[in-house]
Amino acid sequence: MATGATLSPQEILRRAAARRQSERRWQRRIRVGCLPALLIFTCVLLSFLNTVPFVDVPSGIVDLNSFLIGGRIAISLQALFLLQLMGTWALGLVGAVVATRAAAGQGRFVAERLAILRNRASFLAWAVLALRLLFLAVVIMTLAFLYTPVLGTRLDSDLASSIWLAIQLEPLEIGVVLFVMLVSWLFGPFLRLRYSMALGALAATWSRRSDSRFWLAISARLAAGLLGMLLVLWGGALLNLISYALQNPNVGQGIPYNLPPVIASLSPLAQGTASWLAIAALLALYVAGQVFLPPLAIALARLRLARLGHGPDKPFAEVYSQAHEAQSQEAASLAETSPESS
Amino acid sequence: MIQIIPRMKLRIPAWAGVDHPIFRLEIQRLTRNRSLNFLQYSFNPLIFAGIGLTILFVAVALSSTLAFSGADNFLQGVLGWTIGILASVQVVAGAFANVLVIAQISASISGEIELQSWRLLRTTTLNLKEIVFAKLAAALLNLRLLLVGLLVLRIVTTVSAMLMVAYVLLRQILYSMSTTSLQSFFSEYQWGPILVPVAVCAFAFMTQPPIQFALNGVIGMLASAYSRTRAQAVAMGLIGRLALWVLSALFNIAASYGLGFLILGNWMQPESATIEAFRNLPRPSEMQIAWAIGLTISLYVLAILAAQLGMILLGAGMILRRARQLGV
Repeated sequence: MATGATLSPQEILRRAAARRQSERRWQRRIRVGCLPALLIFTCVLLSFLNTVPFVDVPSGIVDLNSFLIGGRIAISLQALFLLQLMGTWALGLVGAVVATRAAAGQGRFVAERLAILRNRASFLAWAVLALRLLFLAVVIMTLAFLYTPVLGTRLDSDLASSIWLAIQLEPLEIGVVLFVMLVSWLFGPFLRLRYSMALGALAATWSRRSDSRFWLAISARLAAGLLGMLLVLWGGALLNLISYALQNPNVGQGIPYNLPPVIASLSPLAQGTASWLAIAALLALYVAGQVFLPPLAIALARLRLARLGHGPDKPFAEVYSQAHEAQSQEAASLAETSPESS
Repeated sequence: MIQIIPRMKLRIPAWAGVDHPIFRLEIQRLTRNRSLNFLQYSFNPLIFAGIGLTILFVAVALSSTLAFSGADNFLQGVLGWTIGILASVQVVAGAFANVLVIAQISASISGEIELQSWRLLRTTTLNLKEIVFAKLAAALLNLRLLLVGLLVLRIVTTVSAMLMVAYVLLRQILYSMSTTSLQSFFSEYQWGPILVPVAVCAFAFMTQPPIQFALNGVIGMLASAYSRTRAQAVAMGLIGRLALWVLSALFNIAASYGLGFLILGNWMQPESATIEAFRNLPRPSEMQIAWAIGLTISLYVLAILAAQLGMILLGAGMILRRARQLGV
C-alpha cells in the first residue's frame, strides 16, 4: 500500500511547471512529426497493399498486365480514400475540441483566439491535404493509364469509354462539377477545420468545466455531421418525391393530371444538364456552408460569452504575448536539451 | 410597441431553481459524481457517431443498387435502413436512459432515510412538496443531455418515417388510382383517415421522451419513498419499471385485439358478426370504415398519452402521501 508523501508548495509548483513543459514538448513533437509520419505510414501501407494481394494471380486472367495495374490502382485509391476520410473525420473532432479553449472571457477576442488555435492545429489540415493530393496523383495516373500510352501499356476499360462519351456530350457541365469538386477537395480540410473550431467554441460556451466542454464540442461536431448527412438524405428523398408526383415514371403523367408532364418534355440532354448542375449546386452549397457558417457560430459564441461571462476578458495583445513567450521558452528549453547542444 | 405587448415569460416553480436550497444541494451532489457525468456527456456523441457512421455504411453498401434500380429505390432503401437503425438505437438508448433515471432518483429519499437525515430535513421551514419536487427536478435536470439525445433521435426517426409514408402513399396508393378516384381522393378528403392517425402517432412518438423521462422519475421517486435503503430503492424502481413495461405491453396487445374484434370482426361485417347487437346495424361504407379505423387509432394513441400523464400525476400524489407518513 502506497503512503502519500507530503510535498512542499515549491516542489508542487516545480513539478506542475515541468509537467506543463513536458506537455508542450510533446505537442510540438506531434505538430512537427505528424506530416512525415503520416506520409511514411501511407507509403508503407500502399507498398504492402500493392505487393502482398497480387503475389498469387488467380487462374483465368487473360491480360495479366491489365489485371495487375487495374487491381493495384483500385486498391490504392480505396486505401487513400479511406485514409483521407478517417483523417477528415478526426480533423473535425480534434478541431472542435481544441477550440473549446477559445471560449473564455467576455467574448471580445473569440475570433482572435480561434485564429491562434487554428494556426497551431493547421498541421492536421496539411496532413489531410497531403493524403488528398496523393489520392489526386493516383487519379491522374489512372487517367494517364486509361487515355494515353505515356506510362506504357494503355488499359482497356468500358468505364473509360463511357466517361469519355459523357465528357464529349456535356463538357461544360461536367467541367463545372469537376471544378467545384476540386475546390472543395483541396480547400476542404482548411474549411472543415475552421468550421469545426467555430462550432467547438460555440458549444463550449454552454459549460465552464473543461471536461464537459470536451464532450459538448464533440457532440456539436458529430451532430452537425449527422445533420448534414440527414439533410442530404431527406432533401434527396423530397426532391425525388416531388419529381415522382409531377411525373409517374411508369405512365409518364403526374399526380396533378391537369399539369403537363414537365420532366418528360425535357430532352435527355437537358435532363442530364439539370442533374449535373444540381450536383454542382449541392457541392457549392456545401462549400458555402463551410465558408459562411463559422462567422455566424463565432458571433453567437461572442454573444453568449458577453451575456454569461466566463472569467475576465484578457486583452488580445496580452494573450498573444503570453503565448509567444511560452513558445519562445519552449523553443529555448528544447534547444538546451537537444543532443546537438549537449 | 415593446411596452404595449406584455412580456411572456415561462414561470419556473421556486423548487426547480438554483435559489432553492434542496435543488442546489442535489445538483451539487449529482455534478460531483464523475461516473454519472461521463455517462451522460458521452451519451449523445456515441449516439450521433453511431447513427452517422451506420447511415454512411448503409449508403455505401446500397450504392451498387443506384445504377441498376434507380435513385428512388436507393433512397427508399437508405431511408428504410435508417429508420430500422434509428429504431434499434432508440430501444437500447431508451432502456439505458430509463435505468439511469431510475437509478439516480431512487437514492433521493431512501438515501436521506438511510443516512438518517430525513427527519432533520423535515424540521426545516421547507414544506414537503418543495423537498420532494426539488429533488426530482434536480435529478431530471442533471440528466437533461440524455433527454436531448433521445428527442433528437425521435425527431430524426419521425421525419424519416414521414418520408417513407409519403413514398408508400405515392407509389402504392396514388399511382394505382384512376383519374376519377384520384380527384375524389383529394376533393372528398379521403386522405383524412390516413393523415389524421399518422399525424397523431408522430406527435405521440415525439412526445414520448419527456413523458417517459417524467414517468421514470416518478417511478424512481416512488420506489425511493417506499424503501429504507438506497439499494432496495434501486432494485424496487427497476422491478417496478419492468413490471409496468410488461403490463403496458400486455394491455396494448389485449386492447388492439379487442378493438380489432369489435371494428373489423363485427361492425364492418354485421351479417357475420359474433356479437348479436351488431347484426341489426347497416353495413358501413368504405369511407366510414376508413374514418372509423383512422379515428380509433388516433383516439387510442391519445388515450395512451393521457393515461401516461395520469400515471405521472398519480405517482406524484402517492409520493407526497408516502413521504408525509415518513415522519415529522
